[in-house]
Amino acid sequence: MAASWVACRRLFGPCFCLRNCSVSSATEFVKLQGIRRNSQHSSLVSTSLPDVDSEIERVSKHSLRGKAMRAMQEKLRKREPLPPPRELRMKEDQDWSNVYPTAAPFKWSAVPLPLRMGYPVRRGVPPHKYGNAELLKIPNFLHLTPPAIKKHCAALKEFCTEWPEGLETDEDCEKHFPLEVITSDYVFSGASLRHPDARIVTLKLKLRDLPLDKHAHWKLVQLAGKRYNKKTETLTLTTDRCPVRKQNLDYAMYLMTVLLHEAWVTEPWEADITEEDMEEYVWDISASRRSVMTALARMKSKDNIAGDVSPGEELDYLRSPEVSGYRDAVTALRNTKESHESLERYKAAALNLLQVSSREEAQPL
Amino acid sequence: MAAPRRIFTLCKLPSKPVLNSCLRRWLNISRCYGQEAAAVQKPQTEIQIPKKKKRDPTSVLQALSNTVKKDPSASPYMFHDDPFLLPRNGGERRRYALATESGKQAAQYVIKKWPEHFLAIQRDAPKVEAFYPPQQQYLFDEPSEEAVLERVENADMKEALDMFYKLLETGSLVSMATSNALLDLLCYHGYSPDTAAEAQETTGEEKEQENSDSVEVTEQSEAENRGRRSRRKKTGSEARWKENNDIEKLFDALPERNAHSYCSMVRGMIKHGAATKAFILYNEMQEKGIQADVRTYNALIQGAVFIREDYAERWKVIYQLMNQMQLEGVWPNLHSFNTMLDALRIMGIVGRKKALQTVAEMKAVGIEPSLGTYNLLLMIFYKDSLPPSDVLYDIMDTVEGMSFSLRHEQDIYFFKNAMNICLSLKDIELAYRVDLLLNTAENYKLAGDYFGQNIYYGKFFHLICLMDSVDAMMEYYEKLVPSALIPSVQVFIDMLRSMDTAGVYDKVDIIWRDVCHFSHLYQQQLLETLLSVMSQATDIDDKLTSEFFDIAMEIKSVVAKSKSRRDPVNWRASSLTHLALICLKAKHLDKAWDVLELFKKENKVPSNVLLEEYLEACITATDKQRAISCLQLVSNVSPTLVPQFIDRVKGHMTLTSQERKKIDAILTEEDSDARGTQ
Repeated sequence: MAASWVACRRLFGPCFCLRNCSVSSATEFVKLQGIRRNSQHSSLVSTSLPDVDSEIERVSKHSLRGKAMRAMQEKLRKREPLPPPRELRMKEDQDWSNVYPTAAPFKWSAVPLPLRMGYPVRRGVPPHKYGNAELLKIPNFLHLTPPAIKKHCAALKEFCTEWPEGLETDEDCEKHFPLEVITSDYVFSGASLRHPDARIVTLKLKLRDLPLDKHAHWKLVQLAGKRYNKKTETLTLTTDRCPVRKQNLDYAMYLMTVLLHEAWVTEPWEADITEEDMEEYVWDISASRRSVMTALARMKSKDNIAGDVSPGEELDYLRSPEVSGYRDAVTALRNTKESHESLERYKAAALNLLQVSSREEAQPL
Repeated sequence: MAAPRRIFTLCKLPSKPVLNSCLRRWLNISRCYGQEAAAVQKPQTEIQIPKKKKRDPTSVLQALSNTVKKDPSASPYMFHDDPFLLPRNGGERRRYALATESGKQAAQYVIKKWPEHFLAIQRDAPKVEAFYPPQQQYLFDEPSEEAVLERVENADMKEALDMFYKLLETGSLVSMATSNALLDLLCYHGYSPDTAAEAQETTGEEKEQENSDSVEVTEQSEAENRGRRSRRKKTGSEARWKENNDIEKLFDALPERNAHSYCSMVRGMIKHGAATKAFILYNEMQEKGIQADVRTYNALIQGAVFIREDYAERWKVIYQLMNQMQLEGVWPNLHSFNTMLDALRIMGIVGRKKALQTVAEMKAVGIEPSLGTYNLLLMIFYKDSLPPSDVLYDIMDTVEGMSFSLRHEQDIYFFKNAMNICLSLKDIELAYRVDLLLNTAENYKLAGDYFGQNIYYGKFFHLICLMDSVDAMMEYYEKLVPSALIPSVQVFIDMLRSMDTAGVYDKVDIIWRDVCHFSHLYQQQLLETLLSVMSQATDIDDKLTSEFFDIAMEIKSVVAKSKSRRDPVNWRASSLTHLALICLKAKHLDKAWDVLELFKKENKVPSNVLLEEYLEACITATDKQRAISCLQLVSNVSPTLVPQFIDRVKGHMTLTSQERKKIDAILTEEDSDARGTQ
């Protein structure tokens, strides 16, 4: 029982499995068939050929339908009976891959399984495999049973080379071969061998494997746009504009080269970059720095209402540990996800900068 | 139903930021990273990518197909695998195969006739030229070399020849290659204008004739067509070379001729049955100092048989030709020797004397004999009129375990002939050796066509039935039927006889099952053999007896059913006796009695042995009624036995007075009858 269920599930997928009402294992079935060799379609379990005789008896002899049915029955009786299916000649220990060597439509006489499929008539069981068009419609995998696949693998082994040493894990492969080229081949039964999607080439690369400095990295990301996945740090180029795969591959490689070149070039207008265009927060050119400078200048001398700072003073300010601490805290707050710690740190840095002790701060409030 | 296969190619990344060259290098690596990867990589983390193994385009497919063995329960692939459509005997097999073929040809005919309906959708890429109707128009219409070559390419002999003459008329020079190509085509097919016309006529009606390039020179009326066709079958489909035909005219008209032209002519003449002319031309070549090539010499060796009648003379010619080859430094090939052997085959005692020398010479010049060579040897040494020789044993010693490929047209006949010889020698061991050779490597491809294979396996199985045990027979039966051999009636009769001789009867039911399967049910001889084997079986247990009884009853019903057929099976006295005996053995007295009545119905007389057996069975079963009715029957059919039977009945059974009276009545009736006749 279990064996036949498993076989059916493998061969026909779940949709067929639901309808399968086998009640004996495959080997029992063959034995039973051996006993009942004289019956027309010779399977105890799976025959659900309609009981024509009783059907005819129920119809009146005098009606047109009854007459026609009886005439047909008489005609069929005269006909030579169908020879038994060849599944009866099969041995239990036969090599199945010899029977179904390649993909072929379902052959009811060559498959020694008690299969049923289709819509059950009048609350009965699904029809028997004999002459069953439903079984012809679905693709079967009778030629790709696990033993057959094992055999194929063993046969193909002689065409394979050893797996190279030092590439045991995926990380090794990524480390030694960072550039990934993905193409697809299509095998199908049709008039043409060609498939339009076979030309598409996808190039994948992790940016950390490219020789980039900070500016080049930032520029490459800007240039790549949507093709760069920030989460996985992967740059993906898909080319499909040329008709042939090779051209697409060449084009993808060309794009990659150009991107890398362009990333390393610093154009004069890049100096005009504004804060909004920055990839990350840089405190040195930010408004925060300017306000810190003015605030410090004001704190130093009350007269300096405008908060003007000379360059020498500015350098002094920047060197002081309070300012650098504040800078780090602000940068961390802006560039990383906001958290309790970073806020606390920011608070401490700000108080420190303004020379307010935590005790003083606690009193008036 | 597209099945995409994704290919991930991983490429290396160099460590230095040398921009352009880096990416260039990646490109190279990704193309052939197998070879170059190792060179680019730094030595400490060197990764050896193995080189791709070399293979030809079909080797993967071949490896996959080698995983598949024969399926003994399947019929050949050409038939539809459905019980309703599978052939069940030799005749059906032939008919079905022909039907498939004629269907294909009909389709071809329709496509050729109305090509415009089949050219609407052309989605195949790459385009398969063979699936398209032939081109009706030529690209070149003006006389030129290209035009001639185009017609030669299309094997349109008439057009090509016309175009060639037109080209000559324009006065332009024709290159050697073009004229030789044309000459080759004409010589190969033995062109003549009337046959070309005939071929066109037959295009529609007789496909077969058209396919075999029917070219016949002799002018005959339609009425003689049939006789001609049968003659053609005998001589092959070759045309006859006519005196001063178009090819010779063309040859004379050629502005210049080289060795190739001469060789083509010689080969064409020999092929189309003008051997004498060929030799004359060859002599002309010799005088002019033109050297012939090896294929021409092969053809000449073939032609030697036709120019000399006497065996010794023929051999002399062949010998001279071989000498000439040696002088000219033309190295002979397999075909030279096989042609020689083929010639020796029809040279009687001379052939037998020289054949082994020829093979020795063949080995001396370093040519590996093909199966065809061995086949020719077999044909030379095994003839009905000759005492059996042991050449086949020597051959099998030599070739055992070797694998052959198709190298000569005779190769495919070896197995058939060898098995035939095994059968005539009645040597089962030798037959097994031949079969082993057939199954070595890919030798099965040389087993010939289905017809030849059926003969091979038929003879093989016949020999097994004759000489080997029942177990071996059944083993081979399972293996061969129906994939290699569709059993005929004779096969089943052989098997039954073999079982009878061995005294092993447990497989009779399998045979009966297959007799039903292969629809030999209504074969009188087979049914009679089956009945006699079953009735004469001795030392069988109860299970077998009841099995036999079942089969016998089925046979009885089959015979009854056959009465409505055109060829009914008739009961004979012997088979009815066997049937009754089987019933008696199974202790079914009533059925036996039915059979005895069948005797009366069929107007047959039961034998005395049967009657005695029946009476004996009645006595053992103490069935008085049947015993008495048996006595009545006996009194009807063989009166002389009656007193003896009555004595036995009276002696062994306790009878009531009424029964005694009945018996006495039979006796007196008998006496009165006897008196009446006196």
